[in-house]
Amino acid sequence: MTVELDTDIAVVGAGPAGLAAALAAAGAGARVTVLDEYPEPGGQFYKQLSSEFSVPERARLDDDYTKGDELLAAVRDAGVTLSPETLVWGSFEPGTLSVMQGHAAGTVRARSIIVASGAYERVVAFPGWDLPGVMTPGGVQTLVKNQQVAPRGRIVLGGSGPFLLAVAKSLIAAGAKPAVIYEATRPLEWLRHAPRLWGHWDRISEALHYRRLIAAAGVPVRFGRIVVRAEGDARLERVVLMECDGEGRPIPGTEQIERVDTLCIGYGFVPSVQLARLLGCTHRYELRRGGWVPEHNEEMESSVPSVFVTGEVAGIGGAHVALAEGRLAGLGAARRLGLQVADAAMADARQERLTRRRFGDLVNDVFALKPGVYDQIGDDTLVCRCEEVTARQIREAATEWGADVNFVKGVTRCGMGYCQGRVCGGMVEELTARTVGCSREAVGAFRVRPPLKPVQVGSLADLARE
Amino acid sequence: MVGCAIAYYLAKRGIRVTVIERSIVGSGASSANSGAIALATKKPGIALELAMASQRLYPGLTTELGSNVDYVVEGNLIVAETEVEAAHLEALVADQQAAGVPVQPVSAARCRELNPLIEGRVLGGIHCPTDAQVDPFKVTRAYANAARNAGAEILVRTGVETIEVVGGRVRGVRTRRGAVRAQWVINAAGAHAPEIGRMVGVTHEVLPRRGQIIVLEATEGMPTIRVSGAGQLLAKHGAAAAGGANVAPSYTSKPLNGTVLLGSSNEFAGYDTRNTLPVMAEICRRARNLMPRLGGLHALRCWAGLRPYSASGPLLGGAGGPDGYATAIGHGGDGMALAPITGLYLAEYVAREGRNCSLPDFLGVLKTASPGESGGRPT
Ligand SMILES: Cc1cc2nc3c(=O)[nH]c(=O)nc-3n(C[C@H](O)[C@H](O)[C@H](O)COP(=O)(O)OP(=O)(O)OC[C@H]3O[C@@H](n4cnc5c(N)ncnc54)[C@H](O)[C@@H]3O)c2cc1C
Repeated sequence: MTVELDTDIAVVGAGPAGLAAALAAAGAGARVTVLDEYPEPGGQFYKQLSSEFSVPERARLDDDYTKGDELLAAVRDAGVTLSPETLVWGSFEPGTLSVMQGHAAGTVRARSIIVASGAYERVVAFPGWDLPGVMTPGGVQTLVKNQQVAPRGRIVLGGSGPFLLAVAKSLIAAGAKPAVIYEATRPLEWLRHAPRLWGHWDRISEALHYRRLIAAAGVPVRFGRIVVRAEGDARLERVVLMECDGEGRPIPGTEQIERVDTLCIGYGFVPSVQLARLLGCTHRYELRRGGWVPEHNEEMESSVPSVFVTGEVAGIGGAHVALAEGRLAGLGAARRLGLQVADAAMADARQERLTRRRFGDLVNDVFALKPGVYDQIGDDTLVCRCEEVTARQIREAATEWGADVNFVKGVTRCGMGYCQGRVCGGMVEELTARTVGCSREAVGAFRVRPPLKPVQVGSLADLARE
Repeated sequence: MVGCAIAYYLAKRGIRVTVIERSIVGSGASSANSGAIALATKKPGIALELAMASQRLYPGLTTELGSNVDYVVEGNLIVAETEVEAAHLEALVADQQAAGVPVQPVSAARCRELNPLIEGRVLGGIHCPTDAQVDPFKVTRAYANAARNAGAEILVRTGVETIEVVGGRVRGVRTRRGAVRAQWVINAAGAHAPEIGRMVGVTHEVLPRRGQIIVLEATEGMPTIRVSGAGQLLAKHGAAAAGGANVAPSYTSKPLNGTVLLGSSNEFAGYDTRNTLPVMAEICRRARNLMPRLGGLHALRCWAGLRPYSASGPLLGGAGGPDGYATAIGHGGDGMALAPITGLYLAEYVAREGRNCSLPDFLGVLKTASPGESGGRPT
């Protein structure tokens, strides 16, 4: 069985950015299809929030949720075709996307493509991170929300960023109250960014709301500490934390041991740029926005004509950025097709995006990844779990011939396993760059080749002409 | 790969050598192949003789170079799926046997026994139990490291832009980063060989011939013996249409990491190293026809590389043009297998200033040298 589909605009990703883009483009008269590998539209953000509260609570507390529902309803009303359970795994000709629906492979043809592929969690290894019981915030969130399973025992949250608070909130709601949250940054360090808060009142009240909820539940937040080691016999039993300086370097003599059954640790997000890279978009390294990001113009069109990028994939910024930027990309793509879009609407969307990006960047700066965190990756720490490659192997390969991550990959096999380097890629780049003292740009990124996610040989075979 | 091997054997003789690489070590075809060190795929003649000489060097390479090249003898089975292919194999196996290759014709039933994944229609095949495989990237890197340890210099991210010739003799090359003076310039640019040739006004009949490969998820208990369709040989030995993608199935299990590589195509598509959907689909279809159970496994990644195709086989040594210019090009789909012997020969060629060392003589002398002695100096 094969799939064939023609559309004006194909939007990849049904999160806030993709849905907002679809709505805007459809509003301008474009035929729009939204492709997403998951069964329910809504992306990571709405998916995780959808079951968060009972309906009355939702109405009372969190307008993001209701916004998610409203957005989805509006998208449906606008005649957008939603194509769930559709994995985009490749692109071989301009204007085409290779897709997989279950075991049926096929092709989607579009005059414009909007990449709204979101982000995934940034993993920074430390000794013991591979013990059972160590999880990422996203992993915990999915467990709690989608599978209604609370992690076991004493739960400790660590790392950095606002998502930790969101996960804490979910855990509290699920009756699995975390014992403590360790945030790597310090409020004192935030102060220098304070003036930039002016005007972002909705976001501030939202943050305060989270903060209050967590305080009310009696979960302490400790600042300026990072997990330097996890220990245990066959599974996690305790973690060692240390106070760190502004650069994230542990301060000697501050070790503290915490008994713990589940450690939920994360350092923010990385744009999910694999598809944009496969499409040939030029990328640049921008640490503040999560790492490699596709370049784009004012209307979110990438370096490849008729390919637009929007939301987290264009730089980490959160759901509000995604909504605003999605609308802009949708209007831009519609205009690119020759459809009428009022200049005023365009200008408004641009302005809204800039405002939201400013706040997004502020949050990014407040929770900026401290470089010292990478120093915790000991020589014997596994970096690539799929292929069991240690940091030592990566550091050695880095110095061999001109520090290039694809060379390091060839020597060590890091990034060649099932996840194709999604987990270890950033770490391998960082370790390679640090070992030889050069920039991330200089060491490059893992080459991206189809399929973006594993697909069955039989499904590909069905695409062949007999 | 070829360049690094040459550098190693030159440096080992105490000759000062610099490898100039536009990208990084092992970035070309040498990291894009399946690493077969095979005799069963070679047409009798100089290609087979080179391969036999090279295969004698391979088992000792890990020790010689001081780093593991993952040399594994897993045997090689070539199957015929059509009458034309069966006829080709029949002629080939007789010639190969006459040349001393331990290759045997086998029945369809025996093919299935050798690799139980084969459930599709085959008419029979040929089997060479001594054929082996390596990790091509590791071989390239091992040669590069060993060359450096022996005193060679390797400049990466440095492209050759022009070759300097004074009074009919090469004097060195110019790169983006400055000049490198040399008595000899050896062209080992693989599929890009013609570009270097043009710098000294020589036309090399080498064409990039693309091959695509798909990597499958690691799976336990995959049969290790390599299997390929004889269609691949038809394309390689020039008996098939030169146009088209020439997809023939090939199955290479990588027992050390559990993956399987599916190949491949033989396409003239310029210097484009992207994968194409029709060829990927066709590779999967052909693999599934031959080995239906592969249909249920997942493809993880794919890539494409450019074989340095030459209709007349490898072009080793003097190649016209100024004095001091030599080539080690045109290895086509055999460059991995042939790189060690190529390196050894070019080192000899340079050491003798290109005099009195024809390739057949060189191979003849090697044959009488003690077996297993790699890098030995023929007298
Ligand atoms: C799909 C596929 C499968 C294959 N399977 C096998 C197999 O199983 N067994 C086997 O033996 N062979 C196989 N081959 C063939 C083998 O890969 C090649 O023959 C071999 O790698 C050629 O080596 P090389 O060093 O000549 O070329 P390359 O490895 O391509 O090296 C040439 C180098 O020259 C550099 N260069 C080019 N121009 C310049 C310049 N101007 N300045 C500086 N540097 C330059 C390039 O960057 C490159 O690194 C296969 C090939 C393919 C594509």
